[in-house]
Amino acid sequence: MNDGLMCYSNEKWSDIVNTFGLMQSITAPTKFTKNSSTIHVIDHIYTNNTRHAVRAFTSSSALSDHYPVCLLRSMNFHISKDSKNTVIKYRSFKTFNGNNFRSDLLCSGLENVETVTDPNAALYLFYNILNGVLSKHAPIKEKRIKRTHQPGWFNNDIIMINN
Amino acid sequence: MWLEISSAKCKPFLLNFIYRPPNSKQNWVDLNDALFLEILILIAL
Repeated sequence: MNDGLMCYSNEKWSDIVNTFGLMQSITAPTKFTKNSSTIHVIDHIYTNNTRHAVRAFTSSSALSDHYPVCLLRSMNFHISKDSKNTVIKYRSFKTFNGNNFRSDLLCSGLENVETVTDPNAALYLFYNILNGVLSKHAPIKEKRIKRTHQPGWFNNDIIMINN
Repeated sequence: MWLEISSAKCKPFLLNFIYRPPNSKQNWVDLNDALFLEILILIAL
């Protein structure tokens, strides 16, 4: 809203603000005049729920003689439980060495699979041996990841400002 | 200008932009007050 803090002392405006339970968030100057050192806070942002107002600020980049006023509002306050962070499992190939893996696989007794007549048992043995060697060279790790679907507006610019 | 921001997983909220022209008269506050009440009544209905 464009107004002046001087006008804020206006009784009528003050009544409106109090009646609707509004809180003025902008405290930094929003307009400088060249001919005087006076600073003005004449662009306001009011909210009736400060719990959702994460941060209010002004930007020094302006296209006019007013600085833009900004308010970050939390949007995920009531997001349901299905959007919380999750834990995934993955194989870490960070220290994987192909030659060592092949060498261990040769000594693992994988050829014994051919002697098993029951196909299900043979497959079980094959997986058991292969995964055993693989887990030695590429261990399974757990990692907590953020929500898979971030809101569309939560882009790199917002992340940079938030930090 | 009034906007209602709705999201599937968030309680909707109202966003209002107001510009007070520098040469506006005192009754601008009264008009704005009446508009606020009008909007709130519409929402309540």
